[in-house]
Amino acid sequence: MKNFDIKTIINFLPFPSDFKLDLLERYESMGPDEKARTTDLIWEAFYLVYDIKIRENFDKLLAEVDEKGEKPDEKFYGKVVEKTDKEIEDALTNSSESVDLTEARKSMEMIIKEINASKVSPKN
Amino acid sequence: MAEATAADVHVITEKGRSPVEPSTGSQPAVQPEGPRVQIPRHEVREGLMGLPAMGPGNRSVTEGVRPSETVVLKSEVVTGLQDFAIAYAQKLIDMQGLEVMVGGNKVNAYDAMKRQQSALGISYLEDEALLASFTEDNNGKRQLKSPDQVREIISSHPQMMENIMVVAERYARDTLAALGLRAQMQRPGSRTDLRDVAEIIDFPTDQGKVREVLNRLSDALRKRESSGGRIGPRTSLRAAIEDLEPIAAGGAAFGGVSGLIVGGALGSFPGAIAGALKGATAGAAGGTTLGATVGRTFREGPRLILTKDQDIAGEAARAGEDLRAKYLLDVDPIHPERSTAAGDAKNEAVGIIMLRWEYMANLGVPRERMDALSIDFLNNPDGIRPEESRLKLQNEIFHRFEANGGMAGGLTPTQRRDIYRNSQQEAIMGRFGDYFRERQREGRDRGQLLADAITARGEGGTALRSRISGAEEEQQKLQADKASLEGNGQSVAGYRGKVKEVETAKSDLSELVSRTVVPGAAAFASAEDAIGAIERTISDTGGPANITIFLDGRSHNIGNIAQREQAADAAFVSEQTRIAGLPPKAQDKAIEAANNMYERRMRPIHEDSQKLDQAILKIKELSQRAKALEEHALASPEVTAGAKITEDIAAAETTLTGWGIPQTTIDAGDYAAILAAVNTQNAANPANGWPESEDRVAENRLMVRRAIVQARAREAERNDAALGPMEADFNTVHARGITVEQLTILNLDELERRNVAAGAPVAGARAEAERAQAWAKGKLKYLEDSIKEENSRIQTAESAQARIIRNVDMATEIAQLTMVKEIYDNRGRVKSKAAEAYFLSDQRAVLEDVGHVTAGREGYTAAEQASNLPRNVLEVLNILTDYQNAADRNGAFQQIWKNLGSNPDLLMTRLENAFGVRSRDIDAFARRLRNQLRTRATAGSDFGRTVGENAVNEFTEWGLSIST
Repeated sequence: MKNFDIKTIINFLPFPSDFKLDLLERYESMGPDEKARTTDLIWEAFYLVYDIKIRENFDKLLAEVDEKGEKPDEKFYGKVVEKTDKEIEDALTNSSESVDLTEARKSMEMIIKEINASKVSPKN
Repeated sequence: MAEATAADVHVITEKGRSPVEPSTGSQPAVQPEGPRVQIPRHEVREGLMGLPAMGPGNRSVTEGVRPSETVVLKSEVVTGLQDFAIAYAQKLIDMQGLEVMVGGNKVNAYDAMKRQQSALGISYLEDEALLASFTEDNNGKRQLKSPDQVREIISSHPQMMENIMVVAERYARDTLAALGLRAQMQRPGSRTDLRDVAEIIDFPTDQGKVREVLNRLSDALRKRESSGGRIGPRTSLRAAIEDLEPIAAGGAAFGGVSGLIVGGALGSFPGAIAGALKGATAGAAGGTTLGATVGRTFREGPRLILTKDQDIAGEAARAGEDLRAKYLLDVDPIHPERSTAAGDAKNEAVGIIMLRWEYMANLGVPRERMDALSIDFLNNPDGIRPEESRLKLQNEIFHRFEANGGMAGGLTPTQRRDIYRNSQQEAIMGRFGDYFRERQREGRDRGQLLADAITARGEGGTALRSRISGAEEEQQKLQADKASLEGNGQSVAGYRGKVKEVETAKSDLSELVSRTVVPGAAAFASAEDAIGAIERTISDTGGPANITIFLDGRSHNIGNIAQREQAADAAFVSEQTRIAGLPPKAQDKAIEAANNMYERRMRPIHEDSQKLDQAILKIKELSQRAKALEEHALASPEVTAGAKITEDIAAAETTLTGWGIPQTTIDAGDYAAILAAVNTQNAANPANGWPESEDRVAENRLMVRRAIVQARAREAERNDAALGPMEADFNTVHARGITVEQLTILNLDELERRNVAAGAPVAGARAEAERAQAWAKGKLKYLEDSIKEENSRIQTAESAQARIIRNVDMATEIAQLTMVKEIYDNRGRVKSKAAEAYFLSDQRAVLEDVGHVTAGREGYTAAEQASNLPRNVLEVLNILTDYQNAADRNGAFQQIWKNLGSNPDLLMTRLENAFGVRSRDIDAFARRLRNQLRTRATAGSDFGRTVGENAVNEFTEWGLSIST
């Protein structure tokens, strides 16, 4: 999907699934002040993750350049950023469909049913 | 020394609050003695937009190190700034409690300093801002807040620390200037003109040595030690600085060292040795061996050079600089050699220069780019470039300096320095304003503040009222002026009316007298003469044969009554004699006929006699009336009040000229200009005039109006061809003690008598009095006219205020604030759109497009095309406002563009501040943005934060600045 609304960003972030679910559910019903603060924090988290990815890619690409016995030129950092940007774009636009609450609930219901069913073992 | 703990590090967020965060990483080798302060880098350094893309020497690129997001001010720097601020504020408070002699008058030192600074045009408004920040009212007395409170205020806000550093820098520069010195850093390996060098001081890069000096600076500021400035018992600061000074390599390098500078290089020779030995034996932190001390002379590190400069010495001795120098800096700039604290003052200045040096290093400025003081580029005769620190505040000061004409041709160094000093003050005052506003807003939701500001501008709102109240107040003042002057005008008119009454009675009388004529004889000089002539015509056969009188609207020529009666009697007697000769029978009829004839002859004579009696009565009546009026008028309330007013009006002008207001200024009749001149005179001498704050006082305003009226009336009368030449006679007669009232009311006989009695030569006294009288009467007329004219001008000014009140337009501000509030309320959406614009390839292409749009293509509208903004700038605006999704896209953009003043300047400033760059124009900005994005010098997080946070903050702050 080609939009970077807050839900897309929440999905993208490496939070545990249940935390994401909880956050997504609560987000809609938050008051305006809490929503604004939460939005700020989510975006800050997003850009922190982005910065970490840049560093990871920097090390990776530097290692590749070293292996070839070359020196990084003045365009090196730009290439790192470009690679990272592409990954982010892909991750955000091509990622699996967003966590759909309805589907998630259905899956949870099914899981619970199966658990319960396995407990009720025919003794007799 | 205690290890750094969590409580020792202050982290300042972008909002200026300081949550405490634990320090990370290993303990530093140099233990801090107090709190360090961490500041987001982009708040103080320019160039947020990523890394410079080019440059083989760019460490960031080759080593992959991005500039840290924060900078850290070390504890000794923070403490130094805090201690300076406390000492400075305390010094100001001390000045406020000090009385000094200025121009023979005892005045408050602080107030006198401020007036002088205002008169000279070099302002130190930061003094008030610092007092407002660091002091509080304690039972009507200003008192410094507790040191802890002051330290907290300073270290919790980066703008405050930046400002304190500039205040300290100004203090150091002014101290050196008062000592007749200027400062300069000598770069390693560069040559410096050593003529007139007073002192050379090594600036170490050894952190221990730096910390030693800064700690001793703090001690000195806290205790304000003074050793009397002579070589002898040394202050610890002096000792620390002397430890830095190189040993004199030879007398030639220090030619011109004068006794003015105590503790100078040569004088410190024994001190340096002693210090080195002390260090070697005691092993104190930062101690040095003798060898190292000598070796330092030849080292290549940067050096602080203090040079004597006559121009700067002259500047510092100007009236307006001297009070600050004497009572704040402790140096008498006219006689620095008599200043007992000169040595300590100099060392303090050197300590502050080192503090600044460290401060800038902490902010990431390479040492090779540092000057001693930012003003140095204006001192150096070689005209070096300004310091390239890339610090935001420093750049702002330099931009203001350029905008204020500091780089214009034909200026003297003093003029340039004055402009620079005022530019420094403007910049920090702007930031103090921001600081105060932010303090006021702390804890209050900015969205709510914006909403309140919008409401206040609506109908009946407080902002609307206060905008109008300025014009209303002005209107009221003008109405009061008009009422006062009208009252004065009525008094003058009443006076003139009375004069007219007396004149009328006199002229009626003299007309009647002039129409009483004896043919062939001279005109009657007085009413008495005329009455006498008429009486003789009645009763004296030797009187006038006939006389013309004026009665019942026409002239009557009447023969001498006594003669006619005599003739009639004689005729009757003659007739009786003839009748006696007649027969008795004929006598009766003859007697009857003679009696009838006699009656017929006498009747007209009696009628004429009655006419003459009436004429006498009339003349007597008018004469008595004129006399009574004359006597009564002098004591009448109309004349008394009117005369007083004319005197007061004249006195107003005399008072103003006595205060030094030029006559030409009063003659020009410009009310505001005269008020300003009064304020200026008052600033120079408080005994004269009044300050600007008292311009509103009704009596003061009336005085100025009266002076204008007086000057205008006098000039008009002087230009009167008939009356003009008579002014001199008026002045002469008036000077003899004859009042204006007497001149205008009394008759000429009386005036002549009084003039002679007062000393006038008899011959000519009457003519002189007559001319003086004409001038005095003319004065009243011109005064009344002048008052009417001034009132007419006041009316015009009042109408202008009424127009302002009618036309106060809040609509523009409401629209601007509404736009800003929408940006603020929708900042979540702004972040999303910014991320989309950066990361999505098709949208990114727009951000890299610097072309100009065409209406009808790709959805762009006529208004967007008309703005001539580059496409990527339009996109940034769209990210902020989402205007392209509005139902009426054209209308929405039109309103935005109107809110921004319909030209790129306002938008440029906001974007420049948000992006941390300076561009020549909007197209240059657009190209820079494109280049930064293309080369990835601006990464996603940079762009996202810049637009999603910085730009939103910039617009919000702009909105809040409109609203205050």
